[in-house]
Amino acid sequence: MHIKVIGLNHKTAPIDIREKVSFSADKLDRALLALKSRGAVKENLILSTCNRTELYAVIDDSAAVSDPLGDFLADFHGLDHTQLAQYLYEKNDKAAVSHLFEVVSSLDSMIVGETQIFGQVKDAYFKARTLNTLGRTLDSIFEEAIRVGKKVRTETQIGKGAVSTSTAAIELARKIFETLDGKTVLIIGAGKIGEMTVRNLHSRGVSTVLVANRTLQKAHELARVFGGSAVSFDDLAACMRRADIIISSTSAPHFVITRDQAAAAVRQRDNEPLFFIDLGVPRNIDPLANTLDNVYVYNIDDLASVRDANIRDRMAAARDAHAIIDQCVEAVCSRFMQPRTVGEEAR
Amino acid sequence: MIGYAGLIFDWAFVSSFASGLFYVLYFMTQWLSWRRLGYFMVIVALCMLSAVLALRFAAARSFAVFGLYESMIFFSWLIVSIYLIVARRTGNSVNAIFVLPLVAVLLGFAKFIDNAVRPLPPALRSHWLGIHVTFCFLGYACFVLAFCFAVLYLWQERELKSRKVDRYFFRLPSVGLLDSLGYKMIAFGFVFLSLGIISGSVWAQRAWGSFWSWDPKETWSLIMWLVYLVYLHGRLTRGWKGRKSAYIAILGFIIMLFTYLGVSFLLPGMHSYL
Repeated sequence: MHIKVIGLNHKTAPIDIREKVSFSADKLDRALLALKSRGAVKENLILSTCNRTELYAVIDDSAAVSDPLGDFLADFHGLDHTQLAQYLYEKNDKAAVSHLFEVVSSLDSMIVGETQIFGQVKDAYFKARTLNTLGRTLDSIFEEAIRVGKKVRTETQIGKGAVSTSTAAIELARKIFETLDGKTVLIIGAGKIGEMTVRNLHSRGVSTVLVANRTLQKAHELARVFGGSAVSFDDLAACMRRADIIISSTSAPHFVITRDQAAAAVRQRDNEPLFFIDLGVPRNIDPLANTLDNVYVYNIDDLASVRDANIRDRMAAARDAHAIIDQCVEAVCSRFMQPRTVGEEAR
Repeated sequence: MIGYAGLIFDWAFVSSFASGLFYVLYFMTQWLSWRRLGYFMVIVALCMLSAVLALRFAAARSFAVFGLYESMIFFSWLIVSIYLIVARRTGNSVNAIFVLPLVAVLLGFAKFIDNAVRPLPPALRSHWLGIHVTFCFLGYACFVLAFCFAVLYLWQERELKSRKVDRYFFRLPSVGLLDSLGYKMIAFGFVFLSLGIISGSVWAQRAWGSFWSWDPKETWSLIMWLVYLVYLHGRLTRGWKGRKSAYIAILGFIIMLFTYLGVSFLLPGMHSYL
């Protein structure tokens, strides 16, 4: 008897392969039961997300089947076994447990530290438990995996910090304003990152969205998405006074907002902080505005440096997470595996 | 029983020092265990300070805070209590990295001061003493917290302005929160200080026949009161927020320290027993 996992993920297989072997919700029940009925498979669980498909099982070594899981995956999806094999990874016993713990802790994810995978592992576990495809070993290991996932999340900085430009802007905004509830954002010009940032701000409590664009038609279109209002370029000065966050992404060759205009705006706001996000290249907002009290100006490079710092932090956190995982793997292996089984893997 | 007061005091000092240290370690490493230890130790410190005060009150047979040593314990007790209330309400304990070391320094200082329980001089045997001292120190304690928030504000503001994030950036609260908490602390402190000054002058009128006698402590209290008045006035009518407010809060704190300690040591007057 030994524990085995085979599978593929975004690192080993392109999207067109991943989509072929994924298990949709309706297929999943059928697949779990079909795999259970295969002789060599004593216990099994299937984890299927958009980035990975993995089969976990306890295999009876006395059955003379060389690759029951690989065969099943190819058969079930009607694929060629040898062709599929080049995308698959396979891990046994201790390595399999270690892999599971890394997956549930989001160390193996496309964006390290993302939170979805934890819920997906939990769902996969409950699904398998409901269909009774788990035995004592897998059940305990997955229960432990969920504990490990929680531990890593609470005891390391793995999920902290924004790792995209638009979420970095949100993070900065929350270090300026305690809450985004009821705040007003003004977006000048249109651009993909700008729109994404407004969308993120809007979903986090920003109540009023003002849109200024050279073409009023475009401004109206964007404003409608967020239930905001369009303003003309001539009213910019008046709008600046109302806005707490100003995002600018025009292609203007000169500053759209000068230091003096920023100073006037913050004065009219009774020195309530004003956060400029300058996504324009060349820059739209005079960088000297950052020297004014209660005015903060971040350009696209500054946001990128915040994002990169966060990514570096996650890498450091990943090292802490590995230390926790190594400990837990040792504990689990000493509990569930006889030394003989571990020895067999070494062979 | 009073014999134990000195020993318990030592424990109060050690636990507040340890608490400050643990909170600083938490701030540096972000290990939750440090924060839990810090919280545990600050509660221990509060209990020890309460016990010392209770023992001394029992020995003196009065609830009056009298003398520098006792006032420092009472002051520390108020700072810790208000810190805990603010931390509970905001769910943020970052302020501990400054507040608790300050309390530890205050108590460390008290260690070198004569700690004998003396009978209250007849001139001070009045209910007004308790009222006057309590209001004044409530005000002082609020100003200490406002000072800590101001320092944190200036730190975080510098982080934001530098546009280069380091690890402290994410551990410090938003400038908005720090600014508004500093303001609230000063608003409360100002009310308490005003009540302290008023109660003191009413008491002086009853006991000595004059509301105000330009005693050094009175003069410096007035200067302190004016500084905080400028803070509140500038904030409410001129919109002084952020850095400017923080500088005034720090200036006010320095004047408060001088009023409390400097005047007692350097400028003798009718407040010389405190």
